[in-house]
Amino acid sequence: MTTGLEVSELTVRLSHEDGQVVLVDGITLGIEAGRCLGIVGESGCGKSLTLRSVMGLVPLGVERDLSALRVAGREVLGDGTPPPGVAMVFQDSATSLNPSMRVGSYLVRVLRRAAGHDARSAREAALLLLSEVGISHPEVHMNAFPHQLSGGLRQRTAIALALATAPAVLLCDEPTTALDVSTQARILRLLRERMDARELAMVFVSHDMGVIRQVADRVAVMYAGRIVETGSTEDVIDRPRHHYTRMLLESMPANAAPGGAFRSIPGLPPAPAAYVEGCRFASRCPHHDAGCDLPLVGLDGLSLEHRSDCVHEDDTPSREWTHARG
Amino acid sequence: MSGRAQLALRRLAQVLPVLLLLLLTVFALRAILPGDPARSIAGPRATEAQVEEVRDRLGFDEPLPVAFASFLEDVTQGQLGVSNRTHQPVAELIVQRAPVTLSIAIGAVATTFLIGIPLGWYLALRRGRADADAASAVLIAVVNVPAFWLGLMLSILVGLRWGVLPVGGLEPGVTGWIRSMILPCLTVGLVAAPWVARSVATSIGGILASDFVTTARSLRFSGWSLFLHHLLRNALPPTVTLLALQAGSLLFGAVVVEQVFALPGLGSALLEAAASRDFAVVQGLTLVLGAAIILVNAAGDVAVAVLDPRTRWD
Ligand SMILES: Nc1ncnc2c1ncn2[C@@H]1O[C@H](COP(=O)(O)OP(=O)(O)OP(=O)(O)O)[C@@H](O)[C@H]1O
Ligand SMILES: [Mg+2]
Repeated sequence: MTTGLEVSELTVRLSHEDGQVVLVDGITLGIEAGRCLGIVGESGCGKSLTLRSVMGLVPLGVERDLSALRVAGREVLGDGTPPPGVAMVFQDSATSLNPSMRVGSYLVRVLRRAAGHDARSAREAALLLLSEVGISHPEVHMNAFPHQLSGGLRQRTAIALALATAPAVLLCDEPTTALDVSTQARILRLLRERMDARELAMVFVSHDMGVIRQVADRVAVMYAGRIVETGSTEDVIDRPRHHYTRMLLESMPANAAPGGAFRSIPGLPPAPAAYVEGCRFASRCPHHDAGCDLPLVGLDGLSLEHRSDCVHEDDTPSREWTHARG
Repeated sequence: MSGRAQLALRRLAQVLPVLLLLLLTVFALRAILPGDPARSIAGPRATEAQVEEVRDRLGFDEPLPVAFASFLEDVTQGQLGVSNRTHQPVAELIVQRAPVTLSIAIGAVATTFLIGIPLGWYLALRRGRADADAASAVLIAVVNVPAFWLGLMLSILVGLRWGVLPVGGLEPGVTGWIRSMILPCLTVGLVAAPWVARSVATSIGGILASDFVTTARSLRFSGWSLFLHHLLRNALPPTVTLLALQAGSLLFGAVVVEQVFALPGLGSALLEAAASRDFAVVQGLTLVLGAAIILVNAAGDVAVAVLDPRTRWD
């Protein structure tokens, strides 16, 4: 299987007057062509920054540092501009579309630039793309400005724009949050189709475990700027090894007993300035003990296929492992 | 396009109440001006009978609504009264004096924006680098320079010391006109340029950091195409608004700076009239200058409405 995307040792820092804060802490992740990596984790753990860093489009004042970035096996760690073959659907579709450009002319421009269409075939391709993402009157939609669209229509427009560049790797930051269930299913089917037919590799951030189970082949669980557990979707969701993953899954509404109370994880994730060397979940973890506070060193001796940072495992040989590739 | 025309009309209709308010204020000047306005209009040497005649002619004895109605009627017919000092019709005086003020205002707008816009873009595009940060600091220091001080400095340096440009009065001929306008235009324009640069830098900085520019970059827009379709289009409405607002205050600046350079414009006419209690002239000039500022701002709003799709109603 050919690799789609490989990201090695990504660190994201925020610089300010009295020093630096590490927001994303040396994570490594990858996904094969035609496969999807799901990323889950509580708000603020660094999912969006991770994707934006891969795109080379971090916010002002934020710096990224990587040791390798490969698309389809080719090193693309260049000058920090978007790497060739990678497209992204940004988290907030309300603000991510150009307010003074009609949807149609935006899409046509992207198609002409990225895929070398002429004016006429670009228009046809645009109409096709819009109907593929489930927009029922593409001709009318082409003439709309973003502010005239509903949240769901904007999200689908953003997905169409990203797909218009014919990417080899698609980074999706919660792309279906504003969609009804059937439109969401349609989009997921379309993405799956692109993965199968065009070997599209995908990274998909979502808070919805149902969606992750449907779309992702592998899952990375992020907590406080690190990937704390990674493995195949079945392994991570059905046999979680990290206490954080376990509690995160239990807190999902879909997993609650009917009529039962929601079980939320007590406390809040730490602020990036308070990130420690040892397990960052320890302060909220009911199984917390002295071993949790030791810095992570070495490799997860158990399994690279299904890796976890948690020390509380009967079959864990020692505390001697660290973030390996996801 | 009918949507835009309709919007433009609606915006212009919104100007009417403001103009009405201006008319009311100018009409009310007669009430707040010290002394008997009829007497000051008639002049100090007028007989009691002549004052009575003025009072009669201007309807000062009539009930206020009736007096206001006849005032409105006069204004709409371009009758702004007659100077009691020179007996020149006020409308004629305004036509005579306006070219100087307009030249300064237009030249000042050009100076302000030719300096302010490129400087603002430069500051925004190079934000965080040493040169732009230093330039920003200098700008913050110079925004508080008053116009008359700058005017004096320019006259002393360029006019008196180097003797290249006139420091007061109008030189004859077209070249003389232009030469006489340079220092006043620079004075008003240079004072406003740092403000414009800073506002432009702020709005461009916001656009550069916006999500939609990040998205455009992710879709491989860069250089010229990013600038044209994603930055410039969205930068136009705030810049036009700024232009309209500045045009109003630059017109005011022109009125003030005429004094410094002893130029025969509307501003100096206003000051002369105020000093000599030339009531009709004060009234007429206030009305015309106020209306000009209101209309320039409204024109800016209409332009923004046409440029920014979010304010359109189609
Ligand atoms: N522009 C920025 N400037 C400073 N800090 C930032 C910036 N963007 C993000 N951060 C910080 O980086 C951390 C990670 O943010 P990120 O947006 O990646 O979270 P996330 O996992 O995507 O959360 P969510 O699920 O809410 O989208 C947060 O602590 C956030 O406060
Ligand atoms: Mg996010």
